[in-house]
Amino acid sequence: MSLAAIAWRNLINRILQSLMTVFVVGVAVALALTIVLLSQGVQNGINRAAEPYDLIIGGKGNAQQLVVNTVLLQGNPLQNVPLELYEKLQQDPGLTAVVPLGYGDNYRKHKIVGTQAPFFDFRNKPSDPPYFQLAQGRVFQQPFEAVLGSEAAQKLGLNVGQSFKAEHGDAEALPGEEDHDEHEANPYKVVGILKSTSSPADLGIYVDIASYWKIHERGAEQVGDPTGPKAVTAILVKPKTFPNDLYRIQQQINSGRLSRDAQAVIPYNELYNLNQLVGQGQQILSFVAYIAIAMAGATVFLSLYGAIVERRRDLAVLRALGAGRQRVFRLVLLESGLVAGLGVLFGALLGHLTAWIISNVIRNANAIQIIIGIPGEEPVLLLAVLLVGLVAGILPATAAYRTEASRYLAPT
Amino acid sequence: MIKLVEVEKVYPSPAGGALKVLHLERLEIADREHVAIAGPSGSGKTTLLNIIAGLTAATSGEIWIYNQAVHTMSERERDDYRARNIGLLFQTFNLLSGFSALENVLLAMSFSNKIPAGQRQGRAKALLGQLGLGDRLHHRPGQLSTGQQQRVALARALANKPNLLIADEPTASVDYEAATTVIDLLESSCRENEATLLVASHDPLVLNRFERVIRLNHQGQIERKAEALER
Repeated sequence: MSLAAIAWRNLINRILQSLMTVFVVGVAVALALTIVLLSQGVQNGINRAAEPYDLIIGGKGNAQQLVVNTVLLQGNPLQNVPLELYEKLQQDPGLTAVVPLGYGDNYRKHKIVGTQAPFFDFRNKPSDPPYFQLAQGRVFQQPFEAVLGSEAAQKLGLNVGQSFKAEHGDAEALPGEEDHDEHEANPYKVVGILKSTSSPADLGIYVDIASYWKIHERGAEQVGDPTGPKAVTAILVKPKTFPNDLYRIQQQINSGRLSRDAQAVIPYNELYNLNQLVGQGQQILSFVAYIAIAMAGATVFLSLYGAIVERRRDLAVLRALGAGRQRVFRLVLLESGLVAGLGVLFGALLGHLTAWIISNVIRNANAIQIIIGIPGEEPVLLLAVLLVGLVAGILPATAAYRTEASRYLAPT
Repeated sequence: MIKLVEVEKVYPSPAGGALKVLHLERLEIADREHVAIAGPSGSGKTTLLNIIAGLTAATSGEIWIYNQAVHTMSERERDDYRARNIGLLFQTFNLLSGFSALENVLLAMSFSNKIPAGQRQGRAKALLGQLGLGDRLHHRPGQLSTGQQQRVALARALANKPNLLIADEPTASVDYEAATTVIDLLESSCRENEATLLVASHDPLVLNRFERVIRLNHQGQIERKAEALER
């Protein structure tokens, strides 16, 4: 019998103890791994969501609110951007694309984003394929045609060719507006459905911004909106050279040279800062996970040490049969390694399963998509726990090493 | 040949000082000889067997077994030497309760590497079969009778084809009939394997079966007169 077979048999012989130890190690690993996976997944989701947008220009106010509204399609929009700024940017030779965004309406809680066809040509890098790709149909070509994000289409049960009527959902966008009749009179027709981007953009409904301008024309005039009838909530721009034109435009806007009523933000930076804020909570959770791992190590130690005390005579018999002290030491260490290894394996599966469940629950409840991958920390974490298990086995192994065979072989 | 010269074993006394438990001026046992070691409790019988088996190091003296100087060996070397050359049979059998009869025998072969790995299963099954346990291979010790457990222990002791079989009080846990069977088995097994047999016992039934009985006194010394009488 090999040493591994003997170690395995010893674990099977005290199956309940072994299973409990594997369970405790597994739960500790799962806890730590879930935190790592979710934290990494949120970062992945943020990276993915911010991917196509280099610079967002919006009204004055909270920069994070602008990004959360524009990129994550959550919360309320800020004040509109002056139309003259949009027109100025269109003239800027350092920009390859200037795309207006209009918010304010929704259909069954899915934001309707008014934009223009070049929006669908945004991509992370010039060499990348477009971020938005059609799964069915085509891009809108005229007002009151709509392209649905993949998840919006799925949740709303809408297909190409079907129609829906928008609801006015964001009172802040155009306060005091009474235009229900306009919404009723102008239903949208679905002309295309996008492929999944694994980002909150999948929840959006994209329409020609001209539809917005047409519906809200009367209301905007009534409330005296300074931007006039052609309201623009935010502007996406694509710089010709990166980062020179990006920073130039950002500086020109934020210094007030181009407009006093607008701000330009790099969405990735704002989302990164937002995640850092949430990261403090993750640090506390990580601390709890480290404690759990330490306790798992203590469980391995107690379980093995107790087993060694019970099995002194068995170890003495192995010694009498010719097993050297080093071999007995290795046997016990192998047992702790097996328990820790099984715990790590169980914990890895449990951790991934838990993270997957949580990410799906969050996905259903929020816009943020948690993209679960295999983070670099995972193998390090799993190896570290394995090491903790082995270290926990050193003292019991030493006790086994020191067993004097002649002392325990005599009848008691 | 087994030869012990001026062998002493001294333990530190709990009350302080030293406690000499064994003092042999000279002891020689010929190859394939069957010898009993007798003596009252505390006379050092088990200590003597442990020293010969290499389980315990003597405090001083020379231990020669088949021309190997056991007294110069490191503990690791003694472990290897024991695994390859010595079969041990204990009073309470000392079978591993979580392992089957077959596995208990296989375990003994795992540490010696004397029997090639491919032959171990076959040899273990054959040994158990010869001892009437062919249908009990996968039973655990707790599922076997006392006599069956003892035969598993004997099969384990014989697993590595030892030159020397050492049995410490092998009949203490069994009744008269079983004791006779055990001694018969030990003697016949050693004859078949051309092994030397060394049995420590205080059981007159056992001692009467041996031509040579070495008697130890309370000081852990051989009673020369008694040995001469036994001869």
